[in-house]
Amino acid sequence: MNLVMLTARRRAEGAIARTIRFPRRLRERIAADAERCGRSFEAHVIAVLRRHYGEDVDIAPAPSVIIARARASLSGLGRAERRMLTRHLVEGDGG
Amino acid sequence: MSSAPVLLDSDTLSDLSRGHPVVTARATEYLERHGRLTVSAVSIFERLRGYRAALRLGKPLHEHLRQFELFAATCVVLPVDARVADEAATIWAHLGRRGRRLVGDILIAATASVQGIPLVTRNRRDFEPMTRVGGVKLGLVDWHR
Repeated sequence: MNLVMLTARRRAEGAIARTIRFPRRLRERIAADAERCGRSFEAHVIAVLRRHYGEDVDIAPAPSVIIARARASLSGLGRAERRMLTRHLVEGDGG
Repeated sequence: MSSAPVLLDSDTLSDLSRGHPVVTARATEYLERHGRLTVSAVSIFERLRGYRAALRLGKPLHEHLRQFELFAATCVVLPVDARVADEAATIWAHLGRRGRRLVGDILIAATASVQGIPLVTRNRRDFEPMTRVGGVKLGLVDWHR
C-alpha cells in the first residue's frame, strides 16, 4: 500500500510514498474494523491516520495507473490535435 | 536516480503522454520512489485550455480531457503564487526579446527556483539562459537520455 501524506509544506517539497507492511494479526483486526465501518481496508487505514494526525493522507495510484492516464489523455490523436493540446503559453498567444 | 523531488516541464509531460519510452521509464522509477509527479499549474493550464478550445470547435475530446483530469489529480501541482510571480519577473527582465515571449516557461522555471527543486526538461536552449540569472537557483535535468 502506497500512502502519501500531503500537508501544505510537503506539497511544495513533493509527496513521500512508502509501502506499509502489516503483521497478519493486525491486518486481520484492521480488516474486521473496516468491515464493521463499511469501508475498504485502504479507506479504513486512511480514516484512522486522518483522525489521529489531522493531516491530508491519500493513497497514490500505482505508477502504471498514473502513466496510463497520462497516455490516455493524448491517445489516438492526430498530429494537429496533439499540437493544439500541448502548445506552450507564450506572450502574444491569442489562440 | 536522485531521491530529491523534481518538477516536470510541459514538454516532459507531453512526452510522457505520447509514450516516449525513456521518459516513461524514468517517470516509473520516479513514481516508485515518490508516489506522485510534480508539475506546475502552468502546465495544467496549457493542457486544459487546449482541450477546452478543441471542445468548443466540436472535437470529441471529452474522454481525453477526463483522462487528463484524472492524471492531474494524481500530481502535486505547484501554484503560481506571489513568490513565483516575483521570481518570474526577475527572470523575464534578464532575458532577451525571444526569451521574454516564453511566459509559460518563465513561470515554470520560477516555480522550480522558488521551491529549490530541479526542473526536468529536454529544452536546454530555452531554460539555460534562466539558470544564469543572478539569485535564481534553477537546476536542469533531462529524462530523455
